[in-house]
Amino acid sequence: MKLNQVVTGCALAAGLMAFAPQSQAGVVVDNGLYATVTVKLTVVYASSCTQLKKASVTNKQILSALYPSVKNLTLVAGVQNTGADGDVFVYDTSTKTIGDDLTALGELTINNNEFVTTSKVKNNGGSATSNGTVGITFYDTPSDNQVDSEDASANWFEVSGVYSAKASQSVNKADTQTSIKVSAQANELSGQCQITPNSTVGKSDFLPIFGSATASGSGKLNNL
Amino acid sequence: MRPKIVILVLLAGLAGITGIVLIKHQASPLVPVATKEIQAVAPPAAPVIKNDEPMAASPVIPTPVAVAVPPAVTNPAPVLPVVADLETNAAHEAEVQAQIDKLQDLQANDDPASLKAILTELGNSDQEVRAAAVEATIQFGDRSAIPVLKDLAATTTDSGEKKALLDAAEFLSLPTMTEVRAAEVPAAKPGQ
Repeated sequence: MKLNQVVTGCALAAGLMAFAPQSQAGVVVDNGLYATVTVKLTVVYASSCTQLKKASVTNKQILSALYPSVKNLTLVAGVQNTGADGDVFVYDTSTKTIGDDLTALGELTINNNEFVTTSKVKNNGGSATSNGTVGITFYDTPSDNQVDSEDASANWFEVSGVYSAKASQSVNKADTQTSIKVSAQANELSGQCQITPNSTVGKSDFLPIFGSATASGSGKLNNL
Repeated sequence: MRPKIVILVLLAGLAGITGIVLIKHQASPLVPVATKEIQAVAPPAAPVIKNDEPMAASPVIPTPVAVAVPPAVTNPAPVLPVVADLETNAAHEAEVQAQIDKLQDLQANDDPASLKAILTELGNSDQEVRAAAVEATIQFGDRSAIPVLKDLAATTTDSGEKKALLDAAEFLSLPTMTEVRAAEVPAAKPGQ
């Protein structure tokens, strides 16, 4: 879900569009704000003894599929002034640096379709809410299209559901800094996945998967 | 009667009537005076503004609206606690957000110290931080947290939090996708 759309609406309402380098609290890198993304999914599969079993998928499984030997990584989504707002990035918590743009690589994509939005404008900022549907796709070996990506990937999932998001921002009295806070959640995601290619785990190629995803972040960006 | 006497009587009567009229005229002066005072207080008639005249050219009309000046604040004291409350809330929100940010960093780690720090926050006094700690525990993915989650669920009175803790414990008890894949891929190889 593109949180930046919510924030952008907020920023437009407040007449604030430009920011300058530097950072403060939260995941703020190069004066760009990122929201931490968490994925919590459950896969249902049939075991060899024909019993249904479950397996879990979290950020760590996604990241270990992409970066098997790297630790201290997490997922973040660009919110404001990141150069690719709405994309999902790898964030190294130990070095506080932004890594690969997974959305640009076709590996992890979050897309939302906004149905309802509201916004409030205050003297020094505003707030906005957004509701709609969201789709999240993950392919460890992305290809040109969905079918090819599914075929090429050892691990992939495609889930969708309803989301709700809210954002707020305010400018300090000196008009030098903007505080932004965003949060979004999709509690009832469902879709299909594949754990391994040609696996004995799944008796069918596509396994059901369900769960939730959240994104939240806050920080202060310096105004131009 | 002699003509001289008749004329004298008529003149006396005329003089009497004139005197009465004059006295009556002087006995009712309040009405016009009062009217004059009211007219002085009332605003002058609004000038007719033609459509093609700019509004700025119209004279300012004094009206009772001028009374709409804010009343003098006789007791500003109640404003101060409100401002103080807002500042306190903002400081509290910032503190909570900092704790959540910290948890989101810790959940990416794999070391016991990070897990201990996360589990400590399960008992935080702020519900928002506790909820973030539950999510961080899930994302951290260490099954040694399961007993802690269950113990907390047993002592938690809030039904929502109890469910969240038990759900987290159940989720952690599942094999991860990585574990399933690691277990299945070697098994699949002989058959290939």
